[in-house]
Amino acid sequence: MFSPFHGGTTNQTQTSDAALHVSQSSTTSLRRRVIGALVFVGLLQCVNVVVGLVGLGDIAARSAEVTAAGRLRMMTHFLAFTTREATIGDAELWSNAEAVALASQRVEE
Amino acid sequence: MVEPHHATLTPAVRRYEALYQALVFGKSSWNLDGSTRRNDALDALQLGSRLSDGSVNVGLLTESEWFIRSVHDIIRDFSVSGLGANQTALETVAALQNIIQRDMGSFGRSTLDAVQVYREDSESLTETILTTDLLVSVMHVLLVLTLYIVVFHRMVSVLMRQVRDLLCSATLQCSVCACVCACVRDTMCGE
Repeated sequence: MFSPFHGGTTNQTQTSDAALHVSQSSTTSLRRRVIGALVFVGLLQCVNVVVGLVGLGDIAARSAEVTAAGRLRMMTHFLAFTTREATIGDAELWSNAEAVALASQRVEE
Repeated sequence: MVEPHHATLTPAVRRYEALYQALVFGKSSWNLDGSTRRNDALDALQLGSRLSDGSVNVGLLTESEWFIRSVHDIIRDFSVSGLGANQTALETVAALQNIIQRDMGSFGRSTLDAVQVYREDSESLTETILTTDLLVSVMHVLLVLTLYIVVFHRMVSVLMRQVRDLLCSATLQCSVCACVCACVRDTMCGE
């Protein structure tokens, strides 16, 4: 037996189910987007870390080069001075052992 | 007692030579990458170049070998005894004069120039890295803003809609909750 009230309730239920399905689908889509966004932000931070580490390593290497070049300049002077002392050989100023030990200590890596 | 000169000078000379080789060709344990074929000015200074007048600059690497050879000559000849503090006698020692002339002359100036070029090279790299970091940061800010527009803005809209639907359709038993919800409902639903 056909009942208008019964038919109206069915339509309302179907409409409600459809709305619920659309809402769930929208929520799932949004959840996926949020997770994707978080993963993307995490990857961006990883890129930041890698770029920072590479830059830091390069700068440290160049700083070591500047230091080494300065040490070489100092060693050149020191060797010239020490060889002159060795040629004189009277150990008046300081002994060769002290001079060269100081030079070696300065360039110790 | 004073140690023999060769026993003390030789390690310093070896270290000097090793440091020079490491600076030019690299040594990982000293954190030196080597400057060869990276900077033309440094290559010309270290490995030599042809000058505009046609003469050849042999480079610091070769000159340092000559310098070290003279030091070895001094070690060999004066490892037992010296000449004393006699300037005239010292001027007759060719190896010592060679060392002093190199130290005070073009070799010494070139080593100072090398320090300057290494410093400029380091500063140039630092500026490049800073510019790169700036570009990366700007790109990240733009991407995060895009994410805000695409995801976060929509997420807030959906959440607001869900809260509004909940409040406008809710039948709450608690009187306090009902009162609060009524106030919010008046605001959000325009009732």
